[in-house]
Amino acid sequence: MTRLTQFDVIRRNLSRKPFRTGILAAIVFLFSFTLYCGTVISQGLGAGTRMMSERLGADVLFVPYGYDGKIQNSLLRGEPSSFYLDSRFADDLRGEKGVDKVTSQLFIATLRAACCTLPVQLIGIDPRTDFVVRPWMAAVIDRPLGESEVVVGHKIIGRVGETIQLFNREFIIAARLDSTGMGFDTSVFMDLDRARRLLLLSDLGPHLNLPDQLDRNTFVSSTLVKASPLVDIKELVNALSQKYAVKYNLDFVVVAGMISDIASALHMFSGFVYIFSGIVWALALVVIALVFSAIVRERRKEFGVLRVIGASRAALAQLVITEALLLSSAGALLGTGTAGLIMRLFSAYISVALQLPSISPGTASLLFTGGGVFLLGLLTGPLACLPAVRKLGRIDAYIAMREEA
Amino acid sequence: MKNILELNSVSMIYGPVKALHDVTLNVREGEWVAIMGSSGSGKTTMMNIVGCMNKATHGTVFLDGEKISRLNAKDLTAIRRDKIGLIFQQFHVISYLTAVENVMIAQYYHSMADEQEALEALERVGLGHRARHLPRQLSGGEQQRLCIARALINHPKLILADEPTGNLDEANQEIVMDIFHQLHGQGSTIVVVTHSPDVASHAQRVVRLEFGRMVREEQPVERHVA
Ligand SMILES: Nc1ncnc2c1ncn2[C@@H]1O[C@H](COP(=O)(O)OP(=O)(O)OP(=O)(O)O)[C@@H](O)[C@H]1O
Ligand SMILES: [Mg+2]
Repeated sequence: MTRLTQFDVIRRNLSRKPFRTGILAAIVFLFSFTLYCGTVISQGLGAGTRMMSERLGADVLFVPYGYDGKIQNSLLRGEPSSFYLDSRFADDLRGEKGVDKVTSQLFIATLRAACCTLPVQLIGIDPRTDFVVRPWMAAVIDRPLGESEVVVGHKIIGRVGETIQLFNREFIIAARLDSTGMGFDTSVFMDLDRARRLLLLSDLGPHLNLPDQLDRNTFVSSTLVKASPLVDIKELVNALSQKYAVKYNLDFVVVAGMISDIASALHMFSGFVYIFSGIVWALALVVIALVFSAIVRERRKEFGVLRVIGASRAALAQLVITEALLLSSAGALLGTGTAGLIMRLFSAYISVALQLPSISPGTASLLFTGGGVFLLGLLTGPLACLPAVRKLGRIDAYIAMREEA
Repeated sequence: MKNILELNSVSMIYGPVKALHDVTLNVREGEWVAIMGSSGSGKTTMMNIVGCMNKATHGTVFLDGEKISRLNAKDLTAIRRDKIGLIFQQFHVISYLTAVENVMIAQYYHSMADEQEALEALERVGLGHRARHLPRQLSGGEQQRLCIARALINHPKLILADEPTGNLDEANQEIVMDIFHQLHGQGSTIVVVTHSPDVASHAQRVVRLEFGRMVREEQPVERHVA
């Protein structure tokens, strides 16, 4: 027995006007798609920024003059670079008022490592003074690194215990760090002295532009400072710069400033996403409202006939609302589905393209956000068709029925 | 026999127009009544009131014992759906549904669509072979028969037909009258509005309206059934 329900009537109507149906669904698609992608990217950036302020325990990074941009690129995006600073600067700093902790790091860019398709940033850390990397490295390894051991960032290929080749030498992967969404993900950490010797011994050494005047046994790349509690960072930086900038040819990056720059970039991005989604949503509401008003006007006669053969007003309202619901559910499902898939597959590329620290949300968070966006998309149609439904109530069945179709 | 329909002093006023004026009419169950009158005399107005599509300005209307002149739109819809089969001069069908689906949609709003029963209804009006055709593929007479099949599908107690043969040729008119005779024979009450004395002559009683008033009741001219 074939059944016929309102649902068949609705389906018949939607498929009778494939173009109109397609356009309306497409608008809802666009809305769900932008909102979902935008929200997920924003969330990733937000988590990345939070992670970054947690991970960068230093207040100020001192680098050679002109390298403030390079170290930011290295930290944020993992663009490897090599630069050199006199290690005596760190010793000078230790006696300064307002300086709590000082440590130095060595940044060496590998042109290419066997492990990786991307160039890798080698970071040498000083186990005696380090206060930046060790706190979160402690989560994965609870002993000092051995002579030929490295800790690798999240995106570096190779299992713990396996070896990795750097400058034609083999190192054992002692631990792998969790994802940070920062340049650390494509970095390899080793002992500072070991890194320095590696650089000098490697045949790449001459190409890395090591200045002649630096002591071959002590040079570093950057010196990181943690200020004493309650010290005004700006004043401290001013004082230190005045004293040492010329002597050591210094530049500096204030971490709080860097993070707040990123945070404001993130706010701008999120603001743009939500404003744009809002505009698309308003557009969707208006277009669907107008089209459904037109639909109700155009189908007055048909609705009149349905009323006369026994459809209640509620049944007709249900007919129209369900039609809108079907439209928007198709659009919302495709929109969130496509966006979810793209976020899943390309989140790494997207965060690289954005050039900001970003951590892709986990599956649960992705599903949760997707569910919310889908619901919002789903509601768009029924919400937008309400004015048309109200008009429906004013149709005088018998008169409408007699109108020309 | 009890009255299925009772109109007591019913008036319908559209602004300055008194479409119905103090009309009183009783129709007994199983009766076949024809309503005649010149154009604009209020026939359709009366059918709309009886058919629960409009409410009278004054007076009371009982349908199958229920006072419909007091009901709200929702209850009127329910009565119309459950007790009345409506047939019009124009063929009001849903253009994108096939013949059988047009019948089934009426079943659906009444209770539940049953294709078998819908096909049987089409068979009864001689449209069994056109069940899968869309309305635009049917002739006027066939569309009218489709409307009749749809009006009958939920076994209404009262069939209201407003000029059901107005757009039909003689042959189709005869077919429709035959169907009405069958229904009447099965006990249905039929009220038919017509301008045609020939159609009216099938009824047991003819009611005449002039300027919104009932002028007289008469027995139809004796008719020779061929
Ligand atoms: N909705 C309405 N608003 C105003 N006047 C109306 C309305 N419906 C009907 N009338 C008027 O009421 C009167 C009766 O109309 P009705 O349609 O009942 O006539 P009728 O007897 O069915 O005529 P016909 O034989 O031409 O169909 C007419 O003068 C008509 O103009
Ligand atoms: Mg009329």
